[in-house]
Amino acid sequence: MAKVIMTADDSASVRQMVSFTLKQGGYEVVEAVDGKDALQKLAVHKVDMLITDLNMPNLDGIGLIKGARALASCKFIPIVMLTTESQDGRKQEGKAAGATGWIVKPFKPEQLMAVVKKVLG
Amino acid sequence: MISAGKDTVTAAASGAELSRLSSGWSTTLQGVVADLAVISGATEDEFLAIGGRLQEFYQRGAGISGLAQEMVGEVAGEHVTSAMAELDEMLDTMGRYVTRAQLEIDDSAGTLREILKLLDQVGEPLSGFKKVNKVLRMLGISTKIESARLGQKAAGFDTLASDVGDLSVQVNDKAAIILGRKDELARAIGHTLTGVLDSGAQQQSQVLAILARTRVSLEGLTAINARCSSAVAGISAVSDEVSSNIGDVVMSMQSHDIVRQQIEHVEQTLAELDRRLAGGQAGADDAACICDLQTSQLSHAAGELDGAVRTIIDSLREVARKQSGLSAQTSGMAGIADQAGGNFFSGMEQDISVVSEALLESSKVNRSLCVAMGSVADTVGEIADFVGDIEKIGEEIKLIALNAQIQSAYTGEEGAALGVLAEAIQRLSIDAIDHTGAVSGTLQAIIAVTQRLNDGVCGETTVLEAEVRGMVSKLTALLEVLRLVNETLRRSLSRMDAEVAQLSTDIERATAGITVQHKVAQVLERSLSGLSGIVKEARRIAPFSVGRTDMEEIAKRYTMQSQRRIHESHLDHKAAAIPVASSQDHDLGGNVDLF
Repeated sequence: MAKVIMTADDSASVRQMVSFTLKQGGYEVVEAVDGKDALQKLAVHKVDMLITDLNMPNLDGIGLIKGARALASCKFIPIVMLTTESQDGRKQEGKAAGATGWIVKPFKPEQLMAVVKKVLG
Repeated sequence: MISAGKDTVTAAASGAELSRLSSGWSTTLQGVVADLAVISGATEDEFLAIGGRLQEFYQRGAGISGLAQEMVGEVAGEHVTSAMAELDEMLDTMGRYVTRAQLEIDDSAGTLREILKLLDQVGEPLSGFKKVNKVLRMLGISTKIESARLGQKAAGFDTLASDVGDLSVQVNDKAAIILGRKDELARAIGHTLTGVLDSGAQQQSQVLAILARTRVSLEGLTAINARCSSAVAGISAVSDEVSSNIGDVVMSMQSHDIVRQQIEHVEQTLAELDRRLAGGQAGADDAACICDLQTSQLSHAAGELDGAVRTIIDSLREVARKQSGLSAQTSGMAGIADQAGGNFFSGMEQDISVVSEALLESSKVNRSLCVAMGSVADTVGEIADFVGDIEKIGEEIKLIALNAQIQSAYTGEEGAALGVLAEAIQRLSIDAIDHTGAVSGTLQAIIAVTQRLNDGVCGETTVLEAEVRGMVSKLTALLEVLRLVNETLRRSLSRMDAEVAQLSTDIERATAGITVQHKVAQVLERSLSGLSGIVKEARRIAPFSVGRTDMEEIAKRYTMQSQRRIHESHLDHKAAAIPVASSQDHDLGGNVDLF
């Protein structure tokens, strides 16, 4: 059975590319338009991994990670930030919130797949 | 004072000028902000449309690569390889069969020649019978004359002469029959020999030529097969390149989001400047510095977007080009196989029937040899019967001659001549018997040779026929395997050509419809021109930057390294001053951190 990965990003074109890449790799994808939407969907969908943008309306990536980690189903899943932000301070903030990894946009499909495979074991 | 007064006048003039220009700048800034707001939100649909097609193009490209792989795999596949190996082996077997058949034909021809030679040898003793007959008839006449001269004393000799005459006629008749049979047999054997030799020569040259031709075709197919095998790696490489192009598109598609953020930040900064100018918190130097910096940011964004769209278009076209190349390459491989295969199969179809006919012809020749040998045996048997008859006649004449000798002894001195005649008759009978012996000996030799040929040829006929039929049937089955492959290739080639042509057309149409970069460029050009005007006017009032503008506040908005680099560069710091991403202990790339 295919593993399920959620992608949260306010940019539809980025969600489309993440989704395209993951689906080519054989994963099932759940899309969320922002942190709030993601948390609502996480309450009903069991996902194996979360890939989230940092800057999003309603609830940003850090808020989403904190909210997700509070859910029992997401306590131990890998959460990777996929953002244009590259400052170390922000990365540390993400790490402290519970992020597993950090990818600076733009990503190469094979790179995203390599990260996904690595963190999903 | 004068100086201070001058400064005061200048400051007042500048303040008035700033106030006058600010309202124009505000209009410009609001226009730029509005334009930027429109383009940062309105370009997504076009990118999404491209993204939607990308998924479709990728899947269609993967389908074409899969088809190419399948086709090349089909030609280089195990069943084709083993069919060709079997065909190769079959050609060897057929070659050996033809050589063996030719040796058998040569052997049979030699035996037939030997029989002809033996039949020729029968001629001499047969002509001896003619001579015996002639002399016997003369002796019979002489006996009759002598018997008439002696009158009653040689009464029995007249009958004896008549008997000898009758017997000599019989010898003559039978010898004539034997001669006739022998000539018939020689003609029949000569005919069979010609048939055997003609058939053999025709069969061998024809079959060997076909086998040689087939072997050349097979070698061609083998070479194509080998090339197809090595092409699998090439196709994989092309597929990898296509994946890489798709990867480039995926990367460039994200530029939309990156550029959008960059434009949004410019938009926010300019709106803030407008507010600050209106509130008197910003002056000409601030306006010049900020607009100049935002010009750099916007120019960078425009360049990024243009580059990204160009990469998307080029990469998609490259996908179409590579798929066309792949199609041409595969057609070049499998197409040659198809073409060569087509020639090979149509040629082989004709050849196989000729080879089958020729090989079955050799069985027919064997059968006709068997019939001929049966006929030789029958005729030789008949001749032997006639020879036996002559031998019996000879014995009879010998007895008659013996009686004549006895009677001539009773006749006394007067019958001496009859005694001589009787003795001569007896000698001739012995000659006749000797001749029959010679003919019998030759006939025995013919029978032995015939039997040998008969045993060799007729015993194998059924086996050979079965062997030929087996070879033809196997050859037909092998060709069927190769023909099916050829048919599959032909269908796949035509499917792939159609799919590649359609993909290229669709990609060309899709890329021709990408105009987002032009729309954005137009808006940005207008914005840049507006900003440039503000900078020019602001620098008239404040020719030099006094460094009071709070650029750090602007920098806080940045989320991207490129924005910070432009910012630093604008402040005349080198980009190297910006910390780069921390070094990683993995090979996932410099933009990846795993915690």
